Amino acid sequence: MNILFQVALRNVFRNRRRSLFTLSALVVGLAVVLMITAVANSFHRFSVENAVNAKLGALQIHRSGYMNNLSLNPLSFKFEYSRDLLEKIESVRGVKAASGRIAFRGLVSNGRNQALFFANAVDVSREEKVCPRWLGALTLGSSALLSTDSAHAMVGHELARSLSVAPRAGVPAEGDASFIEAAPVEVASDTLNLSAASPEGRQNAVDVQVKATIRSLLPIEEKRSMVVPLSLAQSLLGMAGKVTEIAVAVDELDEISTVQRELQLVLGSEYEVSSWADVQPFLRDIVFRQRVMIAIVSVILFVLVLFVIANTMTMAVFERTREIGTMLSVGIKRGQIQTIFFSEALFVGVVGGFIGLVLGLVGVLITHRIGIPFGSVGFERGILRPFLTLEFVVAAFCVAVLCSGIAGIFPAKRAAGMNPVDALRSN
Amino acid sequence: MANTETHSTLTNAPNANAIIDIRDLRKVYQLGKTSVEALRGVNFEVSEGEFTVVLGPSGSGKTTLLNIIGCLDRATSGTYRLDGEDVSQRDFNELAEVRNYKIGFIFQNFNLIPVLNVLENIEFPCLVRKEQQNRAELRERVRALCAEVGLERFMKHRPDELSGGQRQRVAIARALITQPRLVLADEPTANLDSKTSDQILELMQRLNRQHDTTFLFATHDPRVMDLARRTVRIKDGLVQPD
Ligand SMILES: Nc1ncnc2c1ncn2[C@@H]1O[C@H](COP(=O)(O)OP(=O)(O)OP(=O)(O)O)[C@@H](O)[C@H]1O
Ligand SMILES: [Mg+2]
Repeated sequence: MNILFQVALRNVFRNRRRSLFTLSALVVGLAVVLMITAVANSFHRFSVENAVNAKLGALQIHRSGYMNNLSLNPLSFKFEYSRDLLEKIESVRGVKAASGRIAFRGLVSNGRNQALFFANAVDVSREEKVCPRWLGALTLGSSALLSTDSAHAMVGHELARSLSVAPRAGVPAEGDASFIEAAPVEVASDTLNLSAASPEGRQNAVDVQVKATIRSLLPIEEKRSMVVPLSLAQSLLGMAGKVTEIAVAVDELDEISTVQRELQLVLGSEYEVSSWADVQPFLRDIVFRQRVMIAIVSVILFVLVLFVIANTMTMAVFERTREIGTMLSVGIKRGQIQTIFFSEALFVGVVGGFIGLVLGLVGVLITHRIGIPFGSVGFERGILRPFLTLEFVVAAFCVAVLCSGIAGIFPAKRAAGMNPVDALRSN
Repeated sequence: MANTETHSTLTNAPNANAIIDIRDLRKVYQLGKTSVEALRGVNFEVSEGEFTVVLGPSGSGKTTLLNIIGCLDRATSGTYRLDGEDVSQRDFNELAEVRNYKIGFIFQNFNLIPVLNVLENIEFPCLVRKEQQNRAELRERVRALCAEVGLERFMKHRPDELSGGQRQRVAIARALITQPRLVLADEPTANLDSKTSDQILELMQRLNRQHDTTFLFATHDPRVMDLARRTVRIKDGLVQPD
């Protein structure tokens, strides 16, 4: 090995305490960055999956113009809900399932009082394949909508309470829903009357039986929302055989943009394909903002590490001033002195980066295995499983090594800039 | 003989036989507003193979002079020819090369590299050269030199495992490994007891004879004078006439 690298390496080991200190700064810095990123990743995946699996679906298909005209008359963007269309959608690579929906609003009444509602009409036989957790959290005594139901509804808990309705007790629970206790309701009946306007503006009304009341973390959902079978909405709104939306589940959420592009291509300009992020921009923004926060924290950590390394390296340079003078006296070049100190910093960087990497990955692996319990019981019940992408791991390691390299430049330049006579005179 | 006479009278003509040829050398240290004139017009020659002692009291300018001769420092004015070449215009890395190929240093406080063992310390000046070294041949020369200075049993030792005298032997071997034109020793015995000093002095004289290398030896110890073939006295930055 080159004598300069030998000198560098041995100096790293000569000052064991200090090297260990620098090393641990780097190790801890990198491991922490990896850990917080992994936890944040799992949290983002959890939030997105939760939204996608409970309500949105990964992708949504509408007639072109729907997304830009939500405030007008969304029902006018209805389209044929045909087997052909479903097959066309499901034949696209990466698509897992598709299910038609109608989102509409109207007035709900118990005979004495009435209230505004927002309803989601779903194809019960298909919805579960697209949104496995579409039933969400139901109160005790509820039962899930079945594909055979046609005059039934699941109603937001608060809405039901204000209208004094509840599911008839004793009906056995079915389906993949969680059931949680709710404050008892003064029950008058289990029947409600829904009225809504057809796309053309014609009013119509229908009686439904309340099968379930829905609990949610969002007050608006408890107060206003309702889930009804697609067939009910179609007849109420005079939209036989039509839907306003087809929700699509994908095999891999990470490859959603590819599937989105592919679907758009297959369906043509008559339809528009939106992702969960297009439909729910605030969720995308939250994820984005958190990523920015973590990036800032990571940068701060790396800058701290950089200063620690630069500082200890500068100390080393001053301590070894006479040694530098000695090397200059035997005719070493400035560049060679730089090489010595720079490789010391880089060596610490590579070793510290490697240990930090291993430690961080082990930490991520362990928390991934064990899982971090997360969410309110009954609602977003779930476990966070921290994970990292290979690209991030490689990038973080490179940044760690780069940091120590940069930290080494200044002290190395200082060492190389020394005047031989002054260096030899120092003690 | 007539030729040398002419040379000494024509003060501006360079002396071809001299390894060191110094004319009217001045060195001023600037300390804030005050300036210290460490050398005040030194004229002085050293011929090849000589063993010269520069004798002077503390603060007389010996180290300053040796640093300039050793190309570690530059004079404020005057000319200095090393081996017939004017080195005053060379840049930093060129001077480093001159030091590496032509000069060996021996210091008062040994100045070894602590993380390298005896062998490595001695071969270090050769290993930092640009051109590839024949490691086996180099090792052979290092071993031979070790034997010459009496270190064959300590080749794997680190400097902190050696006595002062042994360390100075390593420094001497390191100064000679490059087969330099000139070895500069700045009070090499100041940190040694008198018995060890005598041994080191004797070793240097022997090497001077055997390797035919020019030695320039700075000291404030008048006892060393007896050993020298030639003594140059320096006082207050001026060379005293003999
Ligand atoms: N770097 C410097 N800056 C300022 N003044 C200096 C410097 N180096 C030397 N001097 C001054 O120059 C003069 C000569 O110093 P020098 O070290 O050459 O003497 P010396 O003969 O080697 O003394 P000693 O026997 O104590 O080593 C002294 O007055 C000293 O204070
Ligand atoms: Mg001195």
